[in-house]
Amino acid sequence: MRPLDPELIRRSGAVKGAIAATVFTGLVSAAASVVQAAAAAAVISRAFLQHQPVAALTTQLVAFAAAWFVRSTANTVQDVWARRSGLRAVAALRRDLAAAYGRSDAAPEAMFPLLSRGIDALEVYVARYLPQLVLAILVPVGLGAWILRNDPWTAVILVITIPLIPVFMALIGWFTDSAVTKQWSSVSRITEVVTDLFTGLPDLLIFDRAKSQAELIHKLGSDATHATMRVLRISFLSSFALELIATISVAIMALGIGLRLTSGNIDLETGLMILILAPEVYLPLRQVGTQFHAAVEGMEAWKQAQPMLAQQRTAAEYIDAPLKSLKLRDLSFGYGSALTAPVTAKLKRGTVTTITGHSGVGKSTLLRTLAGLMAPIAGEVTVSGHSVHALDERAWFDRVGYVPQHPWLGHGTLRDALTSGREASDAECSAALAAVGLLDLPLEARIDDLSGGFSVGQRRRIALARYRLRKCDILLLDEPTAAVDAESEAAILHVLEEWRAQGAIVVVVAHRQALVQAATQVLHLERAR
Amino acid sequence: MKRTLLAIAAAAATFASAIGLVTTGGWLISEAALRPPLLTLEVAIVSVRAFGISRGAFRWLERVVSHDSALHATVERRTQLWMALAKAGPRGAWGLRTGDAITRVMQDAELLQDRITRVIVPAAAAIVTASGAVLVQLHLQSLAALCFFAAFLVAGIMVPALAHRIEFTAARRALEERALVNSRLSAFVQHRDEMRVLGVIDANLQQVAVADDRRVAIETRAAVLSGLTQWAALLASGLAIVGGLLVAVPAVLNGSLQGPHLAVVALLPWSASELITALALAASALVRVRSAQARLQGIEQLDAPIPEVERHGSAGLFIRQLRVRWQDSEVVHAIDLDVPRGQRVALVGRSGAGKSSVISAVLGLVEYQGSVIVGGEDDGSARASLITAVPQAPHIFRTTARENLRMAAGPVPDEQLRRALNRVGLAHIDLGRDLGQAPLSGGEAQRLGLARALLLEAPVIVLDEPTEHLDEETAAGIMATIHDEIWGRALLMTTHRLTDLRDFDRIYIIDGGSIMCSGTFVECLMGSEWFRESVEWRLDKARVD
Repeated sequence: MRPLDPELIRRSGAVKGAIAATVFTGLVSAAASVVQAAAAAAVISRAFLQHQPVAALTTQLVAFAAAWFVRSTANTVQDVWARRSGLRAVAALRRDLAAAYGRSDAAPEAMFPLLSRGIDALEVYVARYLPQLVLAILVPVGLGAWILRNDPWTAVILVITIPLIPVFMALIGWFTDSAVTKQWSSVSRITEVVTDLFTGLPDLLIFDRAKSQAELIHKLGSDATHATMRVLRISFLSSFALELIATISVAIMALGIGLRLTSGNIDLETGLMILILAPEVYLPLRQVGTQFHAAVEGMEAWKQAQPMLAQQRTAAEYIDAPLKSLKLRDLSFGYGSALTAPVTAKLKRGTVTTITGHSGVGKSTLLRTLAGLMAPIAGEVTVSGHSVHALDERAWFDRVGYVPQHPWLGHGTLRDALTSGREASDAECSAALAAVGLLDLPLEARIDDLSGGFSVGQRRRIALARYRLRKCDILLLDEPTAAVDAESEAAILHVLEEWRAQGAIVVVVAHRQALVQAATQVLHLERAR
Repeated sequence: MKRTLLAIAAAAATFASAIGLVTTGGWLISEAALRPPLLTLEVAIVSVRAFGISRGAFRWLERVVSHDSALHATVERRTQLWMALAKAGPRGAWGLRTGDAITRVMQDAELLQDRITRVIVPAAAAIVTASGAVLVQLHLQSLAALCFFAAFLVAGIMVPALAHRIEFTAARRALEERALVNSRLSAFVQHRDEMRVLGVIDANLQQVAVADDRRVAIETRAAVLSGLTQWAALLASGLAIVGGLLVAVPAVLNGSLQGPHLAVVALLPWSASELITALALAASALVRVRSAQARLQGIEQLDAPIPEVERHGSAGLFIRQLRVRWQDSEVVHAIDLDVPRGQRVALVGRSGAGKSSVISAVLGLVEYQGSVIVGGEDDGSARASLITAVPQAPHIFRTTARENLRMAAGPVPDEQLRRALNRVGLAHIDLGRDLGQAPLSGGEAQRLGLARALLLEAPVIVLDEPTEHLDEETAAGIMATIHDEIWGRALLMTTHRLTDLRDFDRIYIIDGGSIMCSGTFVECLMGSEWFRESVEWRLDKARVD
């Protein structure tokens, strides 16, 4: 695991800001700590050895107070600034990653844990770990130079021990890498399972199994805890080792100074100053060790996010002319392995094609593939000579209507669901609803994520009505008449006929006879042998 | 508790070692400046080394112990939260958006870890160590001790206490915003495909970003506030050091303080400033912990009392005066419905007429008024043991087919599971198949739901459109299976395939939430125009084929 990925800095302005702010405040703070140490050492040694009164030490006392004030302020500013940068970096990165996912065909399951808590974890990395990493380079060099000027003997110890620390850190990073990946996958897994169980809560309640799932949640939680403790043990141990290097170095310095004082090779003021300053040199290095465990999850999330962020969609072909046909050439489709033998077909304008076949043969998967929402395994889907996957995202989807089995209507009013961000008058909305047989639904009715008052059949028809408000060349509908009554079925068939008459390419997955009969062409799928 | 105490002791020892290291070092070199015989420094030399090692060792111990117990406590708490969600039932849970509920169970519950690792342990250790430091200081120079004590009291306790109220409001809002971000993200992740087609990806991302930006703004304000308490802590420590020097320097001059002790008096509050900042940090952490707790209590207090199934009368399912409300209107108006044992009864009507609301009430998934009665001699009173069901879109869990089938009837042997799959035409599905990795089609899911429900030997079976998403041939097979299976049980079914209902004992036609007509298939043909037209439509379509 790399402690700092240049790609992260390149991508995020906020991270650059955090580093710049840390460099500035770090230098101010280091300078102030020199003044502070020198002033305090002067006050103590002069009062002690030369018996100077407070009045004679006013300058040093004021200098100390001023330096302390500057340092406290610089540290506070650094802290707050880094927090702010961390928050901003996380928000920006979350947006980028979500946008990248929004353009991709990637599977959804692992995305929610990554986008939510994974990216959140990066905040600690940016706000706490990264600044300490910067300071760990800056401070030892700056203060080390000062110490070298005043007491070369102590500087020797610094020169010997400081390089040990980055070497050591690299070792730990290397050592924790696989443990961290395991931790992330166990944490991600429990989020996925809890999401799955929550979504299926009604089913669990019907069978009174909700409570017994607590056992599963407990077990996965314990697994995640073990994985996390493994990472923590390694990083706490390494932090212990770093701390030992640091404190033993300081102890050796103190003893060295003490011994040289007894032999008169150094004066008390210098000795005290070095003693006060020495721990400051090691502080950021120790902090790097301390923050390491909190930062690793963020680093892992970054690692997980990177492939998707790096993905570039090159598809940028456009089509201006109206579509003539949708061609399937030797099309193999499925998740991983092909579900049917390669399909070749030409779906023309002004036709209704029904996809039939036994339950589970892959009708819905074919529909998704036609929509360009998943890449075919082999072969291609083309319109006007362009492969659907090579088309610019908007140029393609603006022409497509797609209604899956369980359509999404959003979280808002019925009007919002119908217009989905476009302009449409109330009259148009009502007309579209009437066309699918939904006569007296108020446009202000609330629609919910989960169930929300509308029956499955109604939801499906609302989703259809939505595309009646748009002008689509291609309509891909997954069982539009499932769970609706005869009247609505007739209305839906009428809408399909309307679309066909307007010259659209209509593709329907169908089980019901009525729908199969409405077709001008049937595409029958058989399971691959 | 024991572990927490151990962690506190270790943390206090860590603080004490750090202070000991600096002050002993200061004393050592001050004493050394007087050039005494080396032997007199021996104890100090050994102590400096010992403090150097013990600080790291104690810190290690504290961190391992406190994190271990905090992580385990979170696992327990999360499990309890799930139980609370389960107890609240769907009405309670449905009030929460998925992303929000998951955020509470996962991330908010995790924040509680900080209660031990970042609040209790450091705060208690800081107070213990600070008391010790004050005592040592008191012994050396009482006025200097007073300076430190005042700084500790003001910056370590009073300032954080004052900031607490404002910070709490901010932290609470920040967590709410995070949950909102997550709810929107979870919908975005789940429905990306349709959003892509509709071209609303950017609009939805914008919504996520708006909430996220609000969260950043609130958190930044909270960070400034907690930064200010940190700053106060640092400044107070500085004042304590200067104050200590101002009283200690004259004390050295008049001989009441030994010279080498001057370094100790100056360096003690210096290194003890860590204790004041630790308290200020703990206060900020406490704010977050408390606001997370408030959100978790939100779940734990959810309560949706759903009436129990009543047990009396003759065998079968009987619904009396059932009323169901949705939002502000009543969608089912005081209906009665009888499903005696051994009979097949259908509930039909237009889409949105109230069929699913009746079914949800029977299954105890929504609040209702009136009675759901299951009569007969069967054991038990729990709804789940009396009524088995396939809801409209049965949820297939992201686990093996085997586990999914066992969801209803518990640990049933594989042989029986395979038979159940066979009966619904899913013989090709391997029991070990991971349905998360290799998902079922809509029709397969529907049938797996049926197989799962039929494995449970309950006196009442409720099926909500069991033949949707199936081709005609498969649907006919499924109806045959259903007829075989319900022998001697009571079946309540909804469907739009009205022609399947010819052999049913009774059909109830619901419209606008009221029963309009009931009777046998023929009686309904006579009694309901809607029923007649719908049947004709289906027959008409079937004939042309």
